[in-house]
Amino acid sequence: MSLFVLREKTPPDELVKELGEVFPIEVRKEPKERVTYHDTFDWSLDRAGLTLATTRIGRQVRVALTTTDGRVLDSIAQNTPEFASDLAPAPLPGIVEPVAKHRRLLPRARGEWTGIFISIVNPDGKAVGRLRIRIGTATPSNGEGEIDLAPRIEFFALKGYNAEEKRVTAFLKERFRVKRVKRSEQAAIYDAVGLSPGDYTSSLRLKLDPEAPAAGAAKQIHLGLLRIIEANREGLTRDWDAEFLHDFRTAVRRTRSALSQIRDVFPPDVADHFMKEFRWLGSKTGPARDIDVYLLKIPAYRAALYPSARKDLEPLVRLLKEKKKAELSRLRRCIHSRRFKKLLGDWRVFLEDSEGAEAVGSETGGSETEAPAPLRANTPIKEVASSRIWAAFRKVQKKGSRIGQFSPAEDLHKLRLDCKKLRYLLRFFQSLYPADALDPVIREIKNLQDHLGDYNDLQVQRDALRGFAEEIMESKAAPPATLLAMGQLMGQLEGKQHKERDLFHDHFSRFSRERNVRRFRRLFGPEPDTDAQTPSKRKKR
Amino acid sequence: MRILATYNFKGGVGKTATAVNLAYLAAMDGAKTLVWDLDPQGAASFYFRVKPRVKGGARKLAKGDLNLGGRIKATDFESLDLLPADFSYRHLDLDLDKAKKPEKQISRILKPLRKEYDLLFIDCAPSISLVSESVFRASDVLLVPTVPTPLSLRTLLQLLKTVRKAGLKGLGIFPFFCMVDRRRTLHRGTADLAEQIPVPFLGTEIPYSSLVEQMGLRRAPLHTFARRSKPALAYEALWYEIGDWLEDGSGYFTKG
Ligand SMILES: Nc1ncnc2c1ncn2[C@@H]1O[C@H](COP(=O)(O)OP(=O)(O)O)[C@@H](O)[C@H]1O
Ligand SMILES: [Mg+2]
Repeated sequence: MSLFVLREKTPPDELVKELGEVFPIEVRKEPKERVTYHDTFDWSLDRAGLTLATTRIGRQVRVALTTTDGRVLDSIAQNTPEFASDLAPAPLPGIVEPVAKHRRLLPRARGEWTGIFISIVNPDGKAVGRLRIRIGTATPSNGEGEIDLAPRIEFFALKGYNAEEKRVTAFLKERFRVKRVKRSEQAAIYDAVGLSPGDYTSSLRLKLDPEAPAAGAAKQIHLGLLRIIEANREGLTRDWDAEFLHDFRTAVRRTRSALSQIRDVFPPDVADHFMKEFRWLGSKTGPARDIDVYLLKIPAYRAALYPSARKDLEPLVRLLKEKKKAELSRLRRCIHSRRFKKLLGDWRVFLEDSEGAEAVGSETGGSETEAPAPLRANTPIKEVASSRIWAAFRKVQKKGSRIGQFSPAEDLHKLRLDCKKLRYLLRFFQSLYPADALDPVIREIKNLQDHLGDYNDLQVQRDALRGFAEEIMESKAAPPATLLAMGQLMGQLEGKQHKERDLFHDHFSRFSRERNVRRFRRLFGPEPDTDAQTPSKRKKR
Repeated sequence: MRILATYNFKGGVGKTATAVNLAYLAAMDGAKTLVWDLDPQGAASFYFRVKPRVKGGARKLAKGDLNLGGRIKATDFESLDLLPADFSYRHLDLDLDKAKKPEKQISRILKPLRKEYDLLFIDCAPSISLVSESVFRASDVLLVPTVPTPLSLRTLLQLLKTVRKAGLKGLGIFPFFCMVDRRRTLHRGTADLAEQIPVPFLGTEIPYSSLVEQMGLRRAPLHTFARRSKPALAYEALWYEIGDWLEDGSGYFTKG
């Protein structure tokens, strides 16, 4: 199929009329269709080259998935799918689930299309070419404002009728100056309503200048995090899916981490104030996120039990859902509070005020060596970055090497937090270092962090299940079978946790092996100490 | 690609009607289907409203340097294509005679199309010749429309003998009764007639119906204008019977 768009000024009816004067044609009007285009908040479908569109037909919904190779998989559903798991039949869920995961298939925009289908026939009444004119409007997902689209012409060439195809397309080009395009209907609609797929990602995409003053660079990092916080606000309060809260919460945590780790670049009173406020915000998001985590684990819990015991978990699911509701409304109140709005507002003003950064720097710039806690606002960011990463790495090294066979779980938990800080720093400053040198470093820390994360996660799950079990007992909200099933799960989790604990030594010695230390030192370590150089070496210079 | 040829020494027995209607049904089932009109009279091409003209014609075809793929025309129906007839096919036999191993020529020239189509229906001219032998060798199945009269049965027996003599063991021969008119006494005893033939008949019979004749007026497969009619339903039943056989084991794609 080749695709053209009509210049705005040409009414499609006129095209049909003129086409009919030159070629014998048969015309059929196609009924109006209203198509909703879906994608997750982070555009995972678009990134994977998939298109998901739904069309309401009476009381049913037609679901059309276009795959990367252009195949359209059609199916009829009773309701508009909200998550990949709602899709049916195979292979639809199998294609979408690995891409969208647990994210909601949000309606991103709507299109309303009517069509005119035209067969060009020869004197024998044989079709020698077919075309369809699609006339559409685009509406943003909030339903406000319809935008006319340039009519599209799809030309379907028929095998063995190339000459006719050439004649028709030449006619369209000469008479109507149609333009050949590649863009899909969805892309045209997104464009019209001002959506650009890929405009959200939960990762910081920064390009820092190594020589830039630290204060300005830190502000860039913080602005990136603030963008993530703001972008997730709506989805979080509407509870579209668990990932909004997760990204929101992670960005808040990273903000706190950046405030404390990239030290001495902001005026202390300012840093302290925002630190306090973001700590407050973080504490508000914790409980709701914890519940989300258990809700997401439920399918795995079910699978871990004998089929006959699976339904026994239902009271736990009910309890979690109730708790989620309560925590969510608490969180909503926080998001709508004056304190929250003021925090984001003040923070943005501070971050966007470049004057302030310079003023801060110039006040103390000359006195760096004298002040007890010198502001490093004007130090090149790369210097600050390397020293912070190096310090964080050393801390992990030191704490990890102290962990022995009998160290309490608490020590591993603390080490995990130190790893996380190191990982955040590496993320913030990623763009300052050559990617190929950074990759193995990130891989190493990720490996250790994942291991500690798994271990800690198992501990947390066990503790939480115990807590839930007590609640269920006290409120007599479930039969003993539920507690038995939960007990069974706790047993399994404990077994897994022991296994994970036994692996700590392997993971840590891998992380702290000489080769990896050299890697870190080469990238972030302090310059060789000049005082240690021998006088003779100096003389040689 | 599986190849089915509609064949009979006799003309006017329903070969073309069968090829056109079955190909249409196969394509509706989603099989990528091609019809090859090998009859110089071009009846199948006529039904699909395609001009019976192939550049190079019989001469190039017999020499084996006809690019068949480039001669294919899309029909008006999804996943159904046609290789039209050409008037020169009336002397295809003579041209083929000059070729090396003429009995393998059809099979050879079809090779490039094997991946592109699931099914090929070859609509043959009513003759016994080098062409038909070459078609037999290429085919998986011969569909033999047979009018229920003693004379037609004699022709069928002759055909079976020819095939046996040529040593075509892998070729399935599927006769079926066609243009069956229950008002005619002879036609009432199709079961008795079938017993005289050493190969089994397909269970489906195509009734005599003026709707089939109308295909010539409308220039379209029967189902496009009389979907629920008796002969249309009979062609469907015939197609199910053959389709089941094709899918049994090796599917459409390989020569079984
Ligand atoms: N079942 C049938 N009932 C009535 N007429 C038929 C039937 N099958 C074919 N015909 C007609 O008989 C004539 C010959 O059929 P055709 O399919 O062209 O035979 P062949 O290809 O064997 O020469 C055509 O006019 C066709 O319309
Ligand atoms: Mg014929």
